[in-house]
Amino acid sequence: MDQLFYGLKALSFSQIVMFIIGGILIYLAIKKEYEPMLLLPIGFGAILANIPFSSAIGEEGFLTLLFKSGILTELFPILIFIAVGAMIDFTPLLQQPFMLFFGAAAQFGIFFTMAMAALFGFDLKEAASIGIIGAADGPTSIYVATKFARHLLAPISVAAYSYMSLVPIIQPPVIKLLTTPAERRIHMKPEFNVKISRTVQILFPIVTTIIAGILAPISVALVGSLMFGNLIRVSGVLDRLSKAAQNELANLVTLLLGITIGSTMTAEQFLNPSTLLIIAMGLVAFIFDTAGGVIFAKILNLFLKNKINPMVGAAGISAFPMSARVIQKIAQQEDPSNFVLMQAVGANVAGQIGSIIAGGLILTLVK
Amino acid sequence: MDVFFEAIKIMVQGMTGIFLAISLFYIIIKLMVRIFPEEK
Repeated sequence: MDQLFYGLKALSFSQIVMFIIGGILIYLAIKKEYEPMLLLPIGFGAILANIPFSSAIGEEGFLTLLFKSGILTELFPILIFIAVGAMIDFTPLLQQPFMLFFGAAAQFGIFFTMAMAALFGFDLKEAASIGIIGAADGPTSIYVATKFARHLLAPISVAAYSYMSLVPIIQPPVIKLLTTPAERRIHMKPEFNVKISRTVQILFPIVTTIIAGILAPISVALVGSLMFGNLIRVSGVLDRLSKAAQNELANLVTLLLGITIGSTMTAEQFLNPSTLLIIAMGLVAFIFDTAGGVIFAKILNLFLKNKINPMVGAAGISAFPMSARVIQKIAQQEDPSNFVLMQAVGANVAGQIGSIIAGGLILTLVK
Repeated sequence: MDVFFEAIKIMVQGMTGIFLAISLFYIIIKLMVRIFPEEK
């Protein structure tokens, strides 16, 4: 009889709390549709990992094997980057390359949060891993955290994906606080008459990889895989591979990545004050990313003849295409005839490049 | 506090690095679009 109840006898209060946390993530995924492709597997992985004597984890557990082969080797984030690269259309950015600068400015939250985390007692590598939540880019967060602070991987991943799904809630108040209604009503001159040749579309991922690689060799895996995926897309001769990367590869790796990350959420690793602090820091990162983009646009407006709608700066974060949609929605609330979506999409795509460069620089600068 | 000041230093270097890299990409895109225009 004892053998039937040995699992129940071993069940601790903290494990029950983790079941509830896993359940909340699953609820948010299903009911609220917050990043369901990730939060659902993460939530279920958390439940699997916290069942007493779970055969899913431990030396021979399948989740441990997936963790060792997919996360510790950095294979899963890299494969996700190939898939994401195949999904991105860089055309809006190539048509208006000026938007690139917003992709740079909106990375400010990463470094600000890193400094804040250092102030709260985290060591430099832990602080950098927490700051990179502000990349608004799950694979980059996982990649950096795996290299610098493996023990913080679970809360960092959960925070990164949760806040990415909360962009429509986080960004509007920050934007409204930093801009006047008149600024939000600024109409921008469209630049979509510029046609981008196929040669440029093909050269862009190749040249970007070479330059980023030479500047920060450690970023080659991140930038290279993203740009490889994009090259497959724009080459025009690998349609099957492009579709496979966008669908089968993305879906399969996302599924495995989510449940594997969830399996790291064991009660002893997750239920501690630093988890709460990391989740709070993640919010700080997203707020200061948004602020960085908006303030940068406002500074540019001091010198530009054709004013920029400063909200477009906030789209410089990597959460694509959610952030661009949020900006367009606010713009139309202020003035129904204002259409800044394409500029915001350009800034949003730039954010994806900016976040990877930021990840590469963090890996290069933090020793 | 040493870690904090080190983080501030990395903040300055990091943001400078991102803007430099992005500036380089900006110039390259402009050049590429000019050198390889869309054929009419």
